[in-house]
Amino acid sequence: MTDILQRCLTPSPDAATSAVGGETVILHLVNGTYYGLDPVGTRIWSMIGDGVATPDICRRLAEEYGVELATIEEDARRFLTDLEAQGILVDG
Amino acid sequence: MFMVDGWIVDQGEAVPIAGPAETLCWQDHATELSISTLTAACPTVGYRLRISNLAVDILPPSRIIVRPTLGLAQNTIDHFLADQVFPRLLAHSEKFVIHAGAVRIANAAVVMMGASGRGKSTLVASFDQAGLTMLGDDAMVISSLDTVPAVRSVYPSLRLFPDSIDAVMPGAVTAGPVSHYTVKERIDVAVNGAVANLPVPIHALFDLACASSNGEIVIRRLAPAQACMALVESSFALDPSDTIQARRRLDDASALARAVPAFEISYPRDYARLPEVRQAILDQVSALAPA
Repeated sequence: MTDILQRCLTPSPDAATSAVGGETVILHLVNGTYYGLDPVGTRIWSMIGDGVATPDICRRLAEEYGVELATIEEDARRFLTDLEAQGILVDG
Repeated sequence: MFMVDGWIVDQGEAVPIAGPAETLCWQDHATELSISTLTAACPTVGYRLRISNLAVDILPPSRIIVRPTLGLAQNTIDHFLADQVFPRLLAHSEKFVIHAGAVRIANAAVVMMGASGRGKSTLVASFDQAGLTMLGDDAMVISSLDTVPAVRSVYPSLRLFPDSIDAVMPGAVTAGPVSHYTVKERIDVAVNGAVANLPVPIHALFDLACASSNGEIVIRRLAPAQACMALVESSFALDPSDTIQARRRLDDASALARAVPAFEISYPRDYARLPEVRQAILDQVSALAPA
């Protein structure tokens, strides 16, 4: 199976978002699930919305937060897999 | 019985089995409540809410048809209308309605939300018995009062389980079970009579968490995003599959979460500890800037 970090992902058209105090709440309009993103998750979500490729998102976060790329990739993989499982991210 | 302005309630024949014009759009397995759309009912889409032996049709712009099975008690019909139909009807008419109770502390409202069974009614009844003004215990409408978020009850009420009545309001006169499908009883208390339905500015939101297992009373500030999610979860909808309405509820919840401080409170569900719970809430509220 292709590594999720190598795939092109985009927000689902059924995902509504709202910025709340530096964080983001995402509501899946069809299945009713909702998801809260902390500031880092919000940053990732913003870059996905801007069409930034997933590997580039990880590189940027590693630079911005001064964290090893491997650590960022591991966290991002878990995060993106979760969002995809909720139907919030879909293949672009 | 409480009514919603502009709507006429009629009685119709029972419809014990879903017909072809009825399309299920949502079902709550915990309460057996189901909501269907009625595609051929009227010029606009109608809705049918059902529990086991009662169906209620909502036919915009102004008709509600109650369809009970033969012999169904009137208190069950009244309770279902007040508890489920009217809050959802208001929510569908672009009001933000949440499953919550509220009390007035000083000149502002403290709203207590949480899933069914978390103790909202018991807590607000406890505040009422301590001399504070209860605004409602079940469904609250959020509005704006001079740009400040405000709250009023959908209908003034207090419904408690018998053990809560014994513990919190001993000797209270009850009007019997609110319906055949719950043992909760309605208490005939003055729910702030004349001013019950006037909006009151909201000072703080409290989300009632599950009972604490260690006996501690813990209050923690919720991040706005957490408060937003709690509000979305507590909100009423007539058609939960309506994506336009869902987006509006998210926006309303987000705006409220940004504007009002929110807290999660965890406490033991022990009637003897309610005075401490009230005091913890009062201390937290008094530490905030005035509403």
